[in-house]
Amino acid sequence: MSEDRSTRRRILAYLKGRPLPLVESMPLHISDPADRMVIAFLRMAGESLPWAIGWKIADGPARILSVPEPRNRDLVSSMVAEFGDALISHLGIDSIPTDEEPIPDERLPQVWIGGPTDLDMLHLIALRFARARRGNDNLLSRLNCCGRCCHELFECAGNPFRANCVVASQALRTVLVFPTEPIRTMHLGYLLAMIPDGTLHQRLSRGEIAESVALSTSLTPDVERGLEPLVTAWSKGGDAERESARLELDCILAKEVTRRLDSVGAALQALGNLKLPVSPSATSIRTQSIRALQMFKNYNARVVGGEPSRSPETDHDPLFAASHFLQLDADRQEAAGELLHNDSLALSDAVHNGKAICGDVVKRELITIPPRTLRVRLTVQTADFGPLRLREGDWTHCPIDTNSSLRWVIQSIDEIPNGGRLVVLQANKPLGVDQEPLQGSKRVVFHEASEPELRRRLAAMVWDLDDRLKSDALPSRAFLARLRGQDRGHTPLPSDVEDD
Amino acid sequence: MTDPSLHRADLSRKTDALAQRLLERLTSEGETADVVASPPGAGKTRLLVKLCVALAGQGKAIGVVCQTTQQANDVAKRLVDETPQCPIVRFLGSSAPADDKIDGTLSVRKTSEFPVGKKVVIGTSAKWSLIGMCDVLDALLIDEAWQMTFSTFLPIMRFTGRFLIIGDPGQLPPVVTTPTERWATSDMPPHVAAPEVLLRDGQIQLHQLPATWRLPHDSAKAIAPFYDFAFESAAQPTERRFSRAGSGPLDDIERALNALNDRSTSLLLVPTPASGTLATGDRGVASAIVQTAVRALETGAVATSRDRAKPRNDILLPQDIGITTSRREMVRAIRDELPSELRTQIRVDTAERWQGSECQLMIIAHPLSSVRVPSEFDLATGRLCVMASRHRCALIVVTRDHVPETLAGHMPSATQPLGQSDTAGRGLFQHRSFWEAISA
Amino acid sequence: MASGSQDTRRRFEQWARNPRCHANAVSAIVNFPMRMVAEAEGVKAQFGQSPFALIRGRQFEEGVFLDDASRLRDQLEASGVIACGTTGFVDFRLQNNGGPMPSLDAAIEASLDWLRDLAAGRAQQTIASGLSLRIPGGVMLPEATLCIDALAVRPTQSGSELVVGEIKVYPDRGGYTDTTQLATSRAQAGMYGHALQITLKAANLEGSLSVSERGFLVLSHSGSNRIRLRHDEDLRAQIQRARDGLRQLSEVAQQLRPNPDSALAVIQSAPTSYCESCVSFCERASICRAHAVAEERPEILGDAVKQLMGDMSLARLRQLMSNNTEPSNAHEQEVLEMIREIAEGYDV
Repeated sequence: MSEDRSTRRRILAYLKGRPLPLVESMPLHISDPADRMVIAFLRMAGESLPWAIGWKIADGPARILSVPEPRNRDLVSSMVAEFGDALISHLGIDSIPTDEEPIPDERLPQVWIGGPTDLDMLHLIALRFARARRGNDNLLSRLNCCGRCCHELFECAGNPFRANCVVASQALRTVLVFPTEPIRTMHLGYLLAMIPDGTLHQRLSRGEIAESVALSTSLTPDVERGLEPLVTAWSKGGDAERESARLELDCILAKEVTRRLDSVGAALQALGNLKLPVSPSATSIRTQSIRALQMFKNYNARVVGGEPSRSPETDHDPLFAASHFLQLDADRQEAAGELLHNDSLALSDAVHNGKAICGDVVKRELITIPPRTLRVRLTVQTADFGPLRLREGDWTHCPIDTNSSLRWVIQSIDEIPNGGRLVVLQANKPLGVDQEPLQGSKRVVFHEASEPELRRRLAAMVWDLDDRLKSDALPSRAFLARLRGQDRGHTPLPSDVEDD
Repeated sequence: MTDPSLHRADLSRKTDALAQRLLERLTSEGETADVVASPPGAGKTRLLVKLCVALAGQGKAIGVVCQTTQQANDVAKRLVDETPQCPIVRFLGSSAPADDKIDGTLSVRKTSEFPVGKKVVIGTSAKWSLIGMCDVLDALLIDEAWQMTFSTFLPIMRFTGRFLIIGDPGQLPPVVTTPTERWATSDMPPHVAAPEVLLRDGQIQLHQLPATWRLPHDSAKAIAPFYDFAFESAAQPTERRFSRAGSGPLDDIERALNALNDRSTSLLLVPTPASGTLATGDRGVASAIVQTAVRALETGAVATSRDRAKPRNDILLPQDIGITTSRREMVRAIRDELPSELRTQIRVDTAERWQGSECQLMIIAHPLSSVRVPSEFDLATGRLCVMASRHRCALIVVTRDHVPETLAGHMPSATQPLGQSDTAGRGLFQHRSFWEAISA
Repeated sequence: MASGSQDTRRRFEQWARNPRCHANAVSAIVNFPMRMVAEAEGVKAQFGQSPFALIRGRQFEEGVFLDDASRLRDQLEASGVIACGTTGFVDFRLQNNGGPMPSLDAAIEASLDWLRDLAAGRAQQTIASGLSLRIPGGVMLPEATLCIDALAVRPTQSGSELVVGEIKVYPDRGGYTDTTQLATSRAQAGMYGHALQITLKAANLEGSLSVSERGFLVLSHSGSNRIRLRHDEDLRAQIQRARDGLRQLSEVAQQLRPNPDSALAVIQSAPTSYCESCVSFCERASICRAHAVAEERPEILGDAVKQLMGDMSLARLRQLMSNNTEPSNAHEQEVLEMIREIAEGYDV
């Protein structure tokens, strides 16, 4: 949705006095409780790595780990390794697949986190541990695997066509528009407080109270000031003092973590209470996510076997960077297309944004593509909804088409003098007479569909350049080799992270 | 002041010398890559066509990569006009209609249909990047290259070892809607314009076209801040003129049109109401734009060009006027204001759609009109550069009058990724320089 | 870092975050913290630093300059900011920050002496820490001082070029590094660059010393004390921002001429301009927001809504939507049409 449309919807939500739906059906895949792992992190101000980690699978008890001194790297490493073991087990990473087919029962092990700072923490763990090389061998391999998993989850959370890792606050913002400033919608507690019934004033008051309670990975300065003497006592005190300080720290941190875990649980409950039907796009996302997990398992096994692991920061190699970018672009296009295809609110927005056309079929004809292929061509007369983003050559899809792989390519767009347009679209596949699409349909909508499979093909082609370079089958071999090996003077990314 | 015709002759010599250097590079042994940065209306497609003809004349098999179907068709037509002694092949998408043929060209959809031997094959980057394989070409010439991402360039490295990459760096970058944080600090980011990435390789040669042939002299100076290199205008001061046979009531619109008697750019300020205006669809500004266009037509506007071989005085017709804005809703608001008889004659469109086109008189809604707190999107100058460089004779900038205050008071935040250029900050400087130039 | 210098920078940035708010401007000009205004109005302060963050910041910075700044030198050389094999480190930090200087005045004097020596070719150090400057002219305060975290020096044809560096403890996450923190860091570096330019000009050292428009950031690695240097940071616009901003603030100060003796009353009676960014820095934001909510002003829904609706209130829009009244101008008509069109999609 464009920012302008979301701004207008926010105003309407305010006038209606409550959050309003953005979708008609749930576009997110939400796994069954048994397949969901909810995770929460805490960190000390100024530090990157966790002070405490908690997780909960299904309705089981929360498991909460903490360290009395998060600036002690050994303590933190042990904690993260134990968390990593649980994460790896939940995702099934330790079961190395024999082939790349999706697992038969279509279940997706899913991770849920509260907000953007938890997502940041996944990345920070990945940065620290995915490629670490120093340390105890057993611990190191567990930490490396944990780092790789966290990196994968971090990337999945940023991919609209993946549901392996879901950020609860973002999920709520995907399905609802809230009558408040966008900055406040980053706070999960605020969102949850706005949802239950009440007047607008009541919701705003509840929200104000809720947002005073910290749910990010940071503790409030007040709480940290209270913890400081305990940390000092643990660091410098005698045995009894240390033990007492540790227990008290554990207790306080556990309470903080539990609150965060509970808020994610409440978000899941709130999403369930909306009772939205599951969108077909959610099903596609689930399938794609399962495939992605399968591929990650294979990749992980190769890394264990000696292949270098991907950098959590960036792809330095231009071929790999381009291939990954194209893959992500394909996923984004497919997710956007699926959403438009399956949701009339989203489709309405697309029409007003110029990313879809809505009109009447005024002409049907059969066109010959040399040498002998016949293609159906439609002329659609549309009302004037404003400037069109779609243009000649763009691919579109019609939601009522029974043929899900059928696409319509825009051949021409002509303005009608008194308003409206004539848009000519041509099917991308030959069709038999008995398969004539949209038969009997008058009023139709065609939305932007792009070409995710073409993007994926392109991604594969770029990836293949690596092989072709090695086999000396490229006319621009020296040029490409130089582009890949160019040193532009950046401080080299350390291949390992030394402990100080 | 230099004699204008000597000045233009000198520019032509420089362009010819550049063409010769590029021809030598493209026919030399080994792999070569050259980037040609061009100001708007500098003849980059003409250069490309000229090189194609010369290379074909030497028996070469050349590929031309364009960014859109329309651009590819334009290049094909221009090549046909040059009657090169070789097949001109229009490489079409698989879903292109059968009747989509250009006279004088061979339309093909597969590489197996390419004629053997010398040829010029013109296709879009989307088409070229997806083909499995073709015989190695002697060279690939890429037009409007700053509109192409590096990730789109990579696959076409399969077909040749000699590249000529031409484009305008001041204009709109490739549209990327996918999140790119992962590659923001990459050495060769896939989402960035291909020439920008390639130029990080110190061995790629960068050339520049020396002048704009489209823009009047002072207009070229006004858009100069948007470029990192200096360029001239082929037209000298006063060689392009906007004049009118009649006049209207002495209001702000009249004053803005009268200002064009002495210069090619003019500013029309619309008071900013206290009640607020919509940045997206400001009817007050839309109305002012339309009234300006209508007044120009009604008072017999004439575009004079003295820098042509035969000086011309062209009475402005509706199709000689272009209107552009940075926002789609504003396009709608302007079209709604236009009298019905002018709606199909005066072209109103966003900056993106105006790229590659030109007209005599351009009337634009300033991108910052009604924007009180500019965002990075607002401060990016690609759009403004396109909008302010379409005209051959005159440019009128219409805006709410708060813009100078907004520009003076704005303090930009530098949120760009690590090690990258501060586009918001630089954009602010460029906006201020442009404003100074048009309001002087 | 001296508290005076943090104060100057902090107050400038406080004003810059919402220059439209007169109350904010007065608070920055007369140095009456908004926290105190909020407390006087019954709001408990939410901000304030964690004790751990302060320690971490100090330790990290000390680590940067350990062993004659060897870690920093390695990275500056590897990045090409300074040539390999250079030597020389000079430290102007105060004693309570791990440096040798007994007072801010001493640091400022020593810094200026060093710049003069550098200009004359008598000083050869290539890295400096805590270079302390006094912004002349009493722009905001009777005296305004700044301490530059780190400075690299490299030779030019006419003398030396000074490269400003900012040290931050947040981690380098590549393209995912927090953009707000980056913007703050660059704004600070820009202020240093501007102050350095003024100082060189006032001391007649511009002929031999220049300030680079490219600086560097020293960040941390996740979970490590190692430093990560990012060079080639584009500071040109931020230096200009500091210059323009200080001039604007000076003009605002001239216009408002607040009486520092009655600062609380002046701030409380000054017009405010609530916006989204206030939430992240102003202790009084909740009070301003409460007023905005009571008046149903559009800014309570964010900056984009404010931009769209201008001075039109949400209450007015509600009135128009219920067909009780006609729009009184074109702007109201446009907004009404926009919201009606959106409302069609909801059968509520």
